Amino acid sequence: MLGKLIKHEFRSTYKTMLVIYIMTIVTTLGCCFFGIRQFYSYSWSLAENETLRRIQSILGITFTIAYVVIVIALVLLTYILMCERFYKSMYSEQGYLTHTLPVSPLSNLNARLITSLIWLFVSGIILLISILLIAISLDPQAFWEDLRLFSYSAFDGGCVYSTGYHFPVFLLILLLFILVAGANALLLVFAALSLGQLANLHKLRAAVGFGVAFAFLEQFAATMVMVRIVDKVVDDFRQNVPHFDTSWALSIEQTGHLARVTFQTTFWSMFSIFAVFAAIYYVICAVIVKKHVNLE
Amino acid sequence: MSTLVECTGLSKKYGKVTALQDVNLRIESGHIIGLLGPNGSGKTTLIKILNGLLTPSSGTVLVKGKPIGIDSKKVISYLPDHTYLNMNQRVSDIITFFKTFYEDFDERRAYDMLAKLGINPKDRLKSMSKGTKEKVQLILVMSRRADLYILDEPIAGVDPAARDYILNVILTNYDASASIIISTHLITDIENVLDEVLFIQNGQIRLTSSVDAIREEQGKSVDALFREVFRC
Repeated sequence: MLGKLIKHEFRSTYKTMLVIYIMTIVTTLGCCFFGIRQFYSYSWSLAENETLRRIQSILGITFTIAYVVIVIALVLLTYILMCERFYKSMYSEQGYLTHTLPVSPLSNLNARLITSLIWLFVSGIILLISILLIAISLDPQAFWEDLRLFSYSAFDGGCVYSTGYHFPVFLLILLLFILVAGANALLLVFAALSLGQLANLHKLRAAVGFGVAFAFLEQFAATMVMVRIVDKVVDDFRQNVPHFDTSWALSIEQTGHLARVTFQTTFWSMFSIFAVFAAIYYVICAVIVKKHVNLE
Repeated sequence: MSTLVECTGLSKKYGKVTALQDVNLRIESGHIIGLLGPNGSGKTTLIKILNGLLTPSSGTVLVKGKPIGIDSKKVISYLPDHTYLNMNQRVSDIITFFKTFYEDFDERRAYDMLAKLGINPKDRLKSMSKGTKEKVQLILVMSRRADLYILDEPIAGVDPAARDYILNVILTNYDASASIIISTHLITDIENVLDEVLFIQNGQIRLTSSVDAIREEQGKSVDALFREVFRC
């Protein structure tokens, strides 16, 4: 049944997401051809006469502004739409259908979480591709030249030097991090909305209150952990760099070691915080959808 | 005849307000039951608990011997007292949705009823009038071959001609072994189709009786008895 629910969730959301992605692609391409490049190279112009140059200039400015808006909005809008979809389908009128389907309450929750995560991930990928296209459009020749000179072993060596992981492993844990961070962000709102619907009055206001409280608690925990991380990294510096307190002159080996310690400590601490809070939010949602649905 | 629903010591509180108090109830199969009571008497609360939309504060509910859950939702077909479908969807999409999730959904029955009413399955709900939306919802609910149909105010807010149509749909589309619970204020419109009535007031069951018994023993119609019991 989970598969059927996920399929239904995609059916209910794909049209809106498709519109957002088409808008992103159009503004990205428009910006590539008329926008960024125009600022980068004043001599570049598609047009031969003044009128066409003006039109090109207006198009350039329009696409650049639209692109900035789209880049900011793409992931944010996906996130907001997914949270709205969760609220509407679980706790508004449509919840009457959702909660009377012969499926387990956890399947309902998981279907929305998985679908939302996939859309967030796709939005992130489209955003990355879009930024890459803009970067290429600035100086295509330089890009292809860089690509020609690209050495995987040197790149991988740099990755190991600064993070302690080979590139494939680094990519894998980065994807895992994105997954956990995305789940955390979604589940924070899902849990706040689930708790909010328990209120007899002002359910949405209650949900906002819970959301703010969760965000505050999570930030507080993250700050406490970051303070510990700084202490740990400084201790490590002192142990591995004898002259740390008197001089910052570091060898290449020392710099690499300190980069790896800083990266790994920070990365895994943040990963743990996101994972622990995501798990707490999930349990809150699960308990409420299983035992405390309150569609008054 | 077997027991479809059994409520024992069922209570529901919203903060300090008690919506249901110690309700004990047994509903057998093969009956049409009127759940009757004034506004705020607890009808909708009881219905929502039976459908798993509210969690009782105390007490138990068993549907065919099992607590509210996947199994109970498989056998209950529920019509809420308001529009609960996604307004952006086409009727045909919603039929596909029902067919996907309800094993007992009879797609052909749904399309037949739509055709009789002249409703285009390709139309979106948001383009329909309130009355047509209600008819579509009723068609979806009655196209299931469920053991128990729970209809919350199915004839409220529609004109008398539509009421007749709705009652006709209800009566011609359920299996004899199934039961129907109809919650309504419009007693005169449904009195003739009811087998039993449940009077509910202030969250408590005031009366459980067959319609024949009310007529024969008290010499009154259900509507007259209702007016007498719930006189303000």
